[in-house]
Order: sequence, then structure tokens, then C-alpha cells
Amino acid sequence: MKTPDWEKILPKFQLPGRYSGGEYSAYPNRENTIKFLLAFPDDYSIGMSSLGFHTVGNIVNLQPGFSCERVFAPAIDMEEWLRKENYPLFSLESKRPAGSFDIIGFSMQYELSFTNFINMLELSKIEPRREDRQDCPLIMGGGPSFANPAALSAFFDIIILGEAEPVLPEVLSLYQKEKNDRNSFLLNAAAIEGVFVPGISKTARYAIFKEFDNTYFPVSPPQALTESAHARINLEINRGCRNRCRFCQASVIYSPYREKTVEKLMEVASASVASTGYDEISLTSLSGTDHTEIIRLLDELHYSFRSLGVSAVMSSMRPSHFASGLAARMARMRKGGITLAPETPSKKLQKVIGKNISSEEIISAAVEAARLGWKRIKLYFMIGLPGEDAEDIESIISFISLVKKSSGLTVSASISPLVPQPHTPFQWVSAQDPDQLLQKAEYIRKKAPAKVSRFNKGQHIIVSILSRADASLSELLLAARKRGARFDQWSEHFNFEIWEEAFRDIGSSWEEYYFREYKTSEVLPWDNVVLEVGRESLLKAYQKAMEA
Amino acid sequence: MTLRVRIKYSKRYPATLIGHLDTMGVFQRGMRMAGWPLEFTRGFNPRIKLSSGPPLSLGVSSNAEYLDVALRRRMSAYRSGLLKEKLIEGLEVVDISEIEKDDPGINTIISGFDYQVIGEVLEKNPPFSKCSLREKDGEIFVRVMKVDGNIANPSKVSGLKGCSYKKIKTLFVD
Repeated sequence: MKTPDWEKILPKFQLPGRYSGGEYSAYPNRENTIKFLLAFPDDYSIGMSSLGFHTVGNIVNLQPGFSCERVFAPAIDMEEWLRKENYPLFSLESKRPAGSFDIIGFSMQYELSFTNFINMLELSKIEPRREDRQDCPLIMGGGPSFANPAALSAFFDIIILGEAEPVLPEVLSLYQKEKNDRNSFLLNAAAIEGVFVPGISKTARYAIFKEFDNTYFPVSPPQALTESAHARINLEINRGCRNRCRFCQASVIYSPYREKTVEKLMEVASASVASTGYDEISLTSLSGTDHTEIIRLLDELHYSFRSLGVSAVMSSMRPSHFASGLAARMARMRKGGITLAPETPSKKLQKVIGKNISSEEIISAAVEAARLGWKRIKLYFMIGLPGEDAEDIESIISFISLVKKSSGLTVSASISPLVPQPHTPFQWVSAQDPDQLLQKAEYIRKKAPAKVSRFNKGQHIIVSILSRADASLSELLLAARKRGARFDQWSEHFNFEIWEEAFRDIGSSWEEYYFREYKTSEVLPWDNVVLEVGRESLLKAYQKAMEA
Repeated sequence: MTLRVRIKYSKRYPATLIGHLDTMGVFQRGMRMAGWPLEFTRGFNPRIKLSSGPPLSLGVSSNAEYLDVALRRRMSAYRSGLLKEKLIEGLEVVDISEIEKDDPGINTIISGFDYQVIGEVLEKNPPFSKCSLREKDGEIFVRVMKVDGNIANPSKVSGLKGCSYKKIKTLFVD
């Protein structure tokens, strides 16, 4: 295999900067180390803005005796070239073939990246199925997709369940000791809390990082040079959520709620500003305004970095907080729009989902926002909730009108259908007919005085199915991949017909899986993942929702 | 007091794989990291006051690119030199010099570029309305001049198909 003249070849590809490496803080190339290839099954631009991805890279590089490199799903033109030249997928840093690494660790964060994952193994000339592999790198997986490892288990040698910080260092140490005996390594790794070894583990605990205020924060991760519009510091201020909305998986799998102190955050922010040169700090969290000292944090950030032209941004908030001193503080930030997630204005459905934000609260937040100079507001709604009727859909339309009329703001709305997720109280419910969902969304789009974004029906179906997948669906993923599925998260590449055919290939149909309703007496495919929030409490919340 | 500084830099692989705007992004971040006393625009979106010469095409290397930036005050040679360490592989500062307050901007004074043609020339009968061709010691060079305020990409005007280029010289208005 001849090494290509990259300098000559790479400029021929679209956005070649995503294969070049050599960015700010690119990972060091250390010799005589165990080579870990950190892989993200989607485009460079997405992987490079993932805090989880950088956190893992940071952990590996801090581990004595290891060095980490990166690889992303190659874009279509690069994939075609790799196949035509029969050249293997290669890492960014040293351009070594993926198959020559000791470990490939995939960051699995959403269902519509699963076919990219399989494709990346194929492009690395590695058999996707574990049982078909011999003398291959250790295929490791981690990330929120493993809240339900059922369908992915067939492809991975070892899975890190939950937060990597407390688990991965121990796994890597063990690997260093036992790298010459794969079986012994896997057997011993299965005993580590937060590790699931397919074929060996029966159940496993989902790991939680207890010293959340501690280090491990990637202060200077490699920074994308392309698409610098998205370039900013991601400052994770808290993890988990104090609220327990019943549709939300993140609030369960990141439970309990933890936060970093303002002192720690300022330390991390200062170091990040100095080492990245970014001019924007994005406060990332499930619910940033829940941080007990959010006001003090925003003040500290503002006064410390103002003279450097660096500002802080926050994506979404709870309206009750907005009314307090927060609004004025947010007003001095860069004004995009303001984003609120009422989910549903229907009092009845609010009881079902367990999220009670009164319409009055939202309207007064919108009025306040307009007074402080905002021009736009974005509202998130959810449809397809259990017990939803025509009146509830009407209420979304009249609510949008009311917000617009009382605040004068330009309203945009996002309508997303409920995806029943594992480890939530809605894990047992049946998903609503996708055609009906689409009709409802279209109806709102026509009637509401706002720009309403569409959702993709096919993508919704596949996400819903893969989210609650059982082990049999690993065959579906292989079949879909074989028929050419990849980049499913990208509507321009997603092709529902491929998936329909893939279902036929495995002797089934999407309807069979999509409309599946689980009985509370049944053992669920993801019951082997043990979480802090137990089944009993989910069941209680489920019954409460059904009574509402 | 506002001060203007002109940076001359070179661009080589792998930095040639990032486009013009992204390259400007790298400089902005480098200057922040080096702690330059940057001047910002007013308002909610403070921006660095920066202007550059005509964009260099993707994949093309150059030994003379320019950009102007506004500073709040004069800085030490140490601080100015720190920028070199805060750029990426392939981007190199060649010179940093102070310019007068009322000097014309870099974009105004550039009049054209000389490129060296790399690779096999398949077709050499070009519509040379905006550029001229010259051969020396078996190497081919293209000169592209500014017309109506724009400097065209040599691959668009020279008719030299299938070639890549290396910028070797920037020409200035007399």
C-alpha cells in the first residue's frame, strides 16, 4: 500500500481541512505508545463540536502510555475515492490506516449515525460483526446511544456505559497490562463498574462521574479550522437536570443533577480563552438557568472577558428564570433570538409530560424580552403525546398567536414528534402514526402566524425504532448499510426507501417495530442497563402520566 | 489611540487546505491568544477590525499574503512576536510593520499577482485578456492583474487546464 501524496490529493476534495489535521491543539504524535483512534461516526464539523468527543480524547491523552488520534466519517467524495483506490480509512494526525491502531473508540451519540459507524468499519477493512473478526483493533464504544446497547452489541468488543470520566482510565490501565491477552482483558474489564462486555456481561451499571467539579475538562481540545462560524468554547456548567419531564431521556441518564462551582468555571473559562483564542463562550447544559449561581457566573464572565471582546451565550432557558435578573444579563450578550420550550400549552398534556410551564409565564418572558430589545423568539413544541386530541393541537396555534400579539416578537416554532425513549416513563407507550403526526405538524404550519419548521417523517420513524431497538435490529443496520444508507442525519442523504427495503431484507416491516407497545410486565431489551433512576420510579411516573 | 499594523505571512501545506475566511479566523484567534491589544467594533457583536488582501484559492500556497489590523496601542516586540507561535502548521508570519493612520488599505494597493504554474499544461492558447504568460528555464509563470477592482483566479482566466498554482509574488500599485 503506497502512501498517497496528500498535499497533491487533498485539495481536490470538498472542505479538505477536515482531513488535514494540524489544527490548533491537534493531538501530539507520540511514539511507543498504545494507539487509540477516537472515531466519530459523522462529519468532522459535528464531531469537532461535541464536548463528549473531546472529553474522551483528553482522557486518553492524559493516560500514561497512550496516544490518541482522530477520525471522522469521510464525506461522500472522500469515501468514493477510498473505495476506488482501495485505500483504508486513515487518521487525521498521522494518516495511519484505522486498522493499524490498537483500539478504535467510537463515540455513539445518536441513532442516525449508526450506519456511518458500520461504514467506517468497512472502510477500515474491519468486519462489522464481532463474531466475524480476528486480529483486529479492539472496537470500543461509548456515548448516550448505549443507554440501549441491544442493537449495537453485535458490533462492539467492549462498551463504556455512561460517563467516561470515572471508567475509561481504569479500562485503559487494564488494557495496558493485558494487551496481549484479549480474552483475559475482556473478562476482567467486565467486572469494572460502567463496563458492558457483549457476550460476557449480563447487566451493567451506567456510570456517573461523582467528582463533576473536578478536572478532566478539555481546556484546549483540537479546534476545527473550517467553518469557524461555529467555533466557540463549550463550557459545561452543570450536568443532569433538576426537572424530570417524562419524555426526556437525558434527565434520567445524567441523573443526579450536578454542577460546577463558579470558581472552577472561571478557571476553566480563562484557560480556554487563553488557549483557544475563541471569542464566544457557550454555556452548555440541559438547563443552564438551573445553575444555582447562574447570575454570579454571567456577571463574572461578562466583567472578566468584556475587554477581550469575548462574550458568553446561553441557548435555552426556563421562562420563570428569565423574568428575574437574568433577562437584563442576557440582554448584554450577543442577541440571536430567545429560545423557550413550552412543549405544550395544554394544561392536560402538561400533566401528562410532567412539565408545568404556564402560558402566562411564557408570555411575560416574551414581553420582557421584547422590552429589552430582542426581536425574535423560538418556541419548541412536542406533538404525539399520549392522550393528545384535536383541541390540544389547536391550543398550540392559539398560543403562538397570543405570544406574537402580546410581545410583538417574530415567532418561529419547532414542532417535534415524541420519540418514546428507553429509561423514560414513556418507554412503554406506542408511538403515534407518523402520517397523523405529519398532518398535525402541517396543520400547525398552515394556521400558526409563525415560521414553523418541518420534521422528516422517515427520519422520525427510524429514530423511534432504533431508540427502542432490540438485538434483532443489528441485522437491520447491516442490511440498510448494504443498501447504501449513510449520513442518515442529513436529510439530503437520508433515503427512507433504503430502510423500507432493509426491513424487507430481514423479513419484517417498519410498522411492526414502530407501533410496538411494551407491557409493563415485559422484560425490555435495555433492562440490562442499570441506572440511578430505577424502574420503579419510571413505572410510577408512567402510571401518573396515563391517569392524567 | 488607534494604531494600524500590517502582517505579511506565508501559507503552505497543510494550511493551504483551509479557505480564506477560515484563515482569517486563525489569525484572529492567534492574535487573541498572543494577547494583542486589539481594537474592536462597537455594539453587541464586537469584531476585530481586520482587512485582508484578495483571497487565496484553496490548495494554493503563497509566500506573500497580507492583512491589516487595528490596535488600541503600540505593543512590545515580544507580544508582536508571540503571534508566530500561535498560528497553525503552514502559516508563518514573515513581517509585522506599523503603517500610518491614513495609509491606503492593503486591498487598495495590491495591483496583481505572479503565480508559478505547477503540473502539466494541457492547453496553452488562452484568452489572455486579464493575464500574461511567461516562460523561464522551462517553468511557466502567470501574471494576473486587477481589473475593475477584482483580481481573478488564474485557473479561471488563463486557460491552463488541469494545473495548480503557487503564488510567488504580490504586485503593488506604484
